[in-house]
Amino acid sequence: MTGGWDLAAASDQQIVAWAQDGAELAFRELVRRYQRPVFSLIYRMVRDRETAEDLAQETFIKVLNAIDSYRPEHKFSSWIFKIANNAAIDHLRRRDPDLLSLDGAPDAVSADRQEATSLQVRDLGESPLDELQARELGSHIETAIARLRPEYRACIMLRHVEGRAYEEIAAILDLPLGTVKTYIHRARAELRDMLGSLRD
Amino acid sequence: MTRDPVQDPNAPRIPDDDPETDRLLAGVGRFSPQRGFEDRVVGRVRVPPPHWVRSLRDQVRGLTSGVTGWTVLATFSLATAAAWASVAVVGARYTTEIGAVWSQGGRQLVRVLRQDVLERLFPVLASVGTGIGEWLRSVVGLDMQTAAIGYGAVILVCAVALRWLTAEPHKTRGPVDAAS
Repeated sequence: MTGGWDLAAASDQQIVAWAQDGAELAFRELVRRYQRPVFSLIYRMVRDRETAEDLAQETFIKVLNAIDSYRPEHKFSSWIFKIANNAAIDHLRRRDPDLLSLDGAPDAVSADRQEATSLQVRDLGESPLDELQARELGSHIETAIARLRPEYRACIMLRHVEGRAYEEIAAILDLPLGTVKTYIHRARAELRDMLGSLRD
Repeated sequence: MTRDPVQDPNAPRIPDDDPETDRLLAGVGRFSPQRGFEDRVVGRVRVPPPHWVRSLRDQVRGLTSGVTGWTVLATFSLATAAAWASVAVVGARYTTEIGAVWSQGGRQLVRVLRQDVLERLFPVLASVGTGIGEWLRSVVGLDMQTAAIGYGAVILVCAVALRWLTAEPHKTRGPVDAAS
């Protein structure tokens, strides 16, 4: 029973308000709405289904347990994507300490400087993937996306799969707007090159 | 204001102007977690109680904040004293009416209760109660109304005295507290 609520038609803000009032149905609706976007983002970042599921679960638990602290002037999607992206990046850093410099030196203030001071991710296309993952992530475009640097990958996913505005992506990734535009531009250029070679 | 240090001269004004890449990216979809993901998440989330429950709880917390054992004792003593005093006042004011009710059936009822319940089931308790009553009468030498008022007053005075003696001095908010 929804008590007269139209969960499917309600905005995120309204659903969150109901969740803050202790309605379990509202919690379920938030999970239903965001489980695929959040899981997809994390899965493409960590490229391991089991790990992605654990991290997605952690993301939701963190967000929903802190639902009282959510302020409606911010977009709920930005909040949950930010936590999901941070969870994925933290996992990558824990798994491979070399990725500590993934974002470049702390004092790097430009995209060029960040790129110059960061390490490239190892070629994930060469990693052994199980059959399911190979099927899911094995297409040319998925292979190419997997070879992007994680921050490029996150930008491309948020822009082209989730359809987020540049401003929202900047807010999610804590990056300046210009950096996001540059990352997306470079990511698309890299994808174009990789897909050309993969098709050959 | 957000600093925007990156202005790549090669970046196009509209980055999404490459139809071929757009077409490929349009085919990139979402993945689904394993079945039961929603239940697993909700099972580990602390769903807060409804707003009215939290509001009520906050109000009760506000009322009971600062309550100590002595506060409880003082309240209990006050309530007991008030009850005894009420009984005494009502008894003194309506002595005739109470006496009439008592003579019409109350005395009979009490006698039955005493004989059938107390004296049969709790003979020892009844004898002890009688003994205490007689002892109290012989020692205090007062009628029951005066004894009740005196009892309530003694409890109240004792509780207030204990509360006053054991109350902690008020803390002055110093500069360290204020800063924190």
